[in-house]
Amino acid sequence: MIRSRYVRRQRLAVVASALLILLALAHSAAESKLSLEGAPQYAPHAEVSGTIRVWGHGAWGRDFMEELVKGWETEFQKYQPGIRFDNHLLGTATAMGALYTGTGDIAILGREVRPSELDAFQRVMGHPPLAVNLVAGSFNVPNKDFALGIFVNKANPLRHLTMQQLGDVFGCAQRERHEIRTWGDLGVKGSWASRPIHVYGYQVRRGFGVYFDQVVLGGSGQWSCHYTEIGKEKNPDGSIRDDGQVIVDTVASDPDAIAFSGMAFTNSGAKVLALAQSAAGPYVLPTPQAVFNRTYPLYRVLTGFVDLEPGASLDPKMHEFLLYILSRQGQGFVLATGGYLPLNVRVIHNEREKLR
Amino acid sequence: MLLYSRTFRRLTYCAVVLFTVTPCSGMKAQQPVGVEQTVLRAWGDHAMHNVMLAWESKFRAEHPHIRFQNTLLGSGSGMAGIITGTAEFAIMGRPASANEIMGFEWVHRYKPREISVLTGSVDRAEGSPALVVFVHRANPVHQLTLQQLRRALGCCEKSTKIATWGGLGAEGAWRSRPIHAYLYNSETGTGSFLQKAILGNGDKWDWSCVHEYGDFHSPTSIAKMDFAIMSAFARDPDAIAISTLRYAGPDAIPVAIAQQDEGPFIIPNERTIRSREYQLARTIYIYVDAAPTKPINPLVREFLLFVLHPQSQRLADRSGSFLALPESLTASEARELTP
Repeated sequence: MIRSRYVRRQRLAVVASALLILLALAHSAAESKLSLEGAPQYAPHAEVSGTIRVWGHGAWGRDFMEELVKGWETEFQKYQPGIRFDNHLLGTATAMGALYTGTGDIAILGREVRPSELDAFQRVMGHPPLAVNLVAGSFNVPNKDFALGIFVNKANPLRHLTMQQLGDVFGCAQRERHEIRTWGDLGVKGSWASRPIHVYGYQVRRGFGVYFDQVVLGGSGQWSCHYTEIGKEKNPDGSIRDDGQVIVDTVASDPDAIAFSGMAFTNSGAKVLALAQSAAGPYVLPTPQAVFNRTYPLYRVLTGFVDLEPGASLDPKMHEFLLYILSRQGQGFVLATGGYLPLNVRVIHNEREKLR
Repeated sequence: MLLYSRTFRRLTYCAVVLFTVTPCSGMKAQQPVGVEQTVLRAWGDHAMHNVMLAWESKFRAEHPHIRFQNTLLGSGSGMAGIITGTAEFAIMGRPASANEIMGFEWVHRYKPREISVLTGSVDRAEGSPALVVFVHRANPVHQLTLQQLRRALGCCEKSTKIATWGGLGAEGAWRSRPIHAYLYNSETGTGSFLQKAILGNGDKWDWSCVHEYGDFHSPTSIAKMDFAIMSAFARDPDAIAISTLRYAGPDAIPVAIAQQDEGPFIIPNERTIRSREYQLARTIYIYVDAAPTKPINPLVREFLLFVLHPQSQRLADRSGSFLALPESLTASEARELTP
């Protein structure tokens, strides 16, 4: 009798631990899963018809977001069969111009908008365009507006930086900025303190450079004279090595390096830093969840621009299409397609407010 | 200004509605096939408004069935018309940017055709004025090469960097004085021209000694920038300012500029700007959609040849803002257009 009670206790213990493990797994799975719970469902406000002309992010022979946009369109047409689409996804550089020449109804940009593009629209139309977040950049998928990471050599003791410090490293030492020249200036102690900082990254005129300038240098364009731009390189066999890869490879081979590059690129000799808005923290490492939540600051957004005259209502078919995109269905489709990340629920609600 | 833009926007919409061939994949809003083209549409530099009207009026005297539609709301919106096929001409007071050329190329699969049509003004704020480098009267340096400017104002290797006036040839007390520069924001057309002219491709300003000024959104932006630049210059004896000839004065001395070390060093004035001897004179361009494998639209070519004709050049010159191109340049541009 005693022996069977013992066996029963043992079995109970096994079952209990198994349950605990399952619970833990389920909990962590739920945490790492990108949740759209709380996102509004799309239900048509009105029956609309006509043609929506879409201009924007794209290139011959390469799928940036064509698959996603076409997928949205097909799904949307199930709710609104009277709508036709006319796509011209020929490049972000064409998009805003299509809007203000009356050739397009929506301009979808694959990078952050430039002041000159907004200014041109304003001068032609007399008011600014309406900007709506449509989808979030990926965490680390090539060609899908991946998040950016701050890379240092694996041997470097530095673990994190504030956005202010980032600006001081990559920007120019002017009167307002602290001179950052050695790792000691960033608080690194010991033998590393006196070593010089070597700063690398994308060419400033590329979309990544423009984005970094906007987020880290306040849009000033005032890069440090010590900043070394890195472009694509040719391998010995003639193939092209992406500049993002060349950057992380440079960090792996230069112990004194710090660089920004895409999270799509890795080298075992380099690691990423956690970033904080201020010294009070929290310092956040780049992860899919942190990019989705926007707790990690170097995330990308793809924005759609439409014309909306002040005091007027949005064109009903554009209103419906945008409401669809900013819905459980629209963003759920992003998740299902893979690549880009959906907008989180807080952002979805904020963007929908713009459509009122 | 608002009314003006709405009117032209309606006209443009009418043109698009009347003449757009609904595409499946192509997007060119061309004149319907088989119908002779009767409308020429231009977007771009608002400062070219009077010149375009004068040209168009003269052109129509010979071609009475042709109508023009101008949507001149700034060089910033100039390229959009030819990119989307809703215009024949992009009138640009500055070169098209790499981004704009890329936009055109990704749609059409060839680059836009660039034609130089006029020289920018001597000193009119909105007329693509020549850029002038100023120093104070007490400064002994009165001539500079473009290379020296790049080494003083750009980021470069320590060995080539020029940080003091001694590095630019000053003797005595001025040798050790630091160089400070005040210039245009490189987001603006003027600023991007300046950056290209002095730094070339890819180089960066040295922000430890360069200060830029720019109010991107104001319609009088060039004049406001000039005022800010020259005010900062006035307060700083060690300064270089880059502005226009309008601001030359007893204590703002235009610097003679040379391309080569040995010269010639050219002082900016109407003669040297007109002749293009002065290196920092500007150009007005017209960009068109002309596929390299096909003959250029005959009506487009005819208008361009008309614009390059000496009589049209004189007509533009009389408008007061812009200058005729040197004859050698109009001749070579016209030759490029002739098959």
